[in-house]
Amino acid sequence: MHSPVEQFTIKSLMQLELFGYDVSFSNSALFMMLAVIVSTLFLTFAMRGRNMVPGRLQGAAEMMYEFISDMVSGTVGSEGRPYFPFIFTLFVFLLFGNMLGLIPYSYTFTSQIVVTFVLALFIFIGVTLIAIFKHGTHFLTFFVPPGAPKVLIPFLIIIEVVSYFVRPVSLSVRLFANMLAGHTMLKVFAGLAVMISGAGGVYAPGAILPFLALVGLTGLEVLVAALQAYVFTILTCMYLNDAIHLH
Amino acid sequence: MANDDKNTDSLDKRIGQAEHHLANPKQAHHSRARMPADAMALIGRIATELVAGIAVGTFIGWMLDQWLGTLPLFMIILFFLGAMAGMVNIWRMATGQGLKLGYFDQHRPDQDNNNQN
Repeated sequence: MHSPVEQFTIKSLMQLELFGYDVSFSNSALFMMLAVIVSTLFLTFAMRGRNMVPGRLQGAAEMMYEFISDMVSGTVGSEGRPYFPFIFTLFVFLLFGNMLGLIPYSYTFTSQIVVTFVLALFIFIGVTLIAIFKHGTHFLTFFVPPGAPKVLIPFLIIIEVVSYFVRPVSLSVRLFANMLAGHTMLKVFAGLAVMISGAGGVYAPGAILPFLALVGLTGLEVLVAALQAYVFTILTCMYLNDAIHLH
Repeated sequence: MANDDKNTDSLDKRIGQAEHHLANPKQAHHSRARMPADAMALIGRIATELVAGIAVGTFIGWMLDQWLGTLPLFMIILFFLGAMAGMVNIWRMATGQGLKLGYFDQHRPDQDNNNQN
């Protein structure tokens, strides 16, 4: 019986070394590439007709575009338009990564904290730089909460600074933890079904219960996959809004 | 087709609406629970926010201690400050302020037009 966390092991498919660092092409990297390729193919193929009345595929592609477009203009406003390509790419990459991970025998790269943390850190640094370039030293007033009693201000500044640095961590942990927990749970229930049916005799029909749970959980995981891509993207939009508008 | 004109008319109207919407992007998005996904998304955020607050606070404290050579001092102080930061984040989230800063009374009219999202 396989361990339920065995699915998360990184296997290197091609040994590579660069300046003494191990940069092997792993199964994680393979699925990141697949996410990029599949999403590019999907969007190009779906939009090839450019029909006035969209078909199913074109409808799906347009729905994704409009969803993110509304999200950006809803949270950031018209100043957010220049960042739309990045936000859309981020959403599509995460969505396809999460969804591809649900296919049996595939690998979920978003279940690796390194992947999600680097994404979040990149966004965090980028958003901070945008805020600094847009507002200069005025950016520092971001850490002084308005409306607070004077005596408490030094204390509150520390809390605000900490809560600012919490952002990349909570952003990445949320996606990573959801994917890790979901996929472990799927594997546990699948293992349970196999074990019970393997027990044979009168116990075997009992395997139907974990199997039914597995069907339900798979549905839930599809929801979680889409939802977590959405959460990651909308929080990026909110951080961007903070950076552009301060308060 | 007979209703071609009608379709073109309504298309023009919809293009007009879309352009108006693009020009005034923030109007239609004031309601907090615009879609059920927003409410669902809140569930997962609370626990991570609290844990991440403590973890990041402790880590910053530990870094300060490494730098100043006062090992347990700042780690302990920032552990509690981190927990508070987590709480503040959850409170802001639960009261629908998003990531906004500040401690104003949310019902004051002069604050209503500021930074709605």
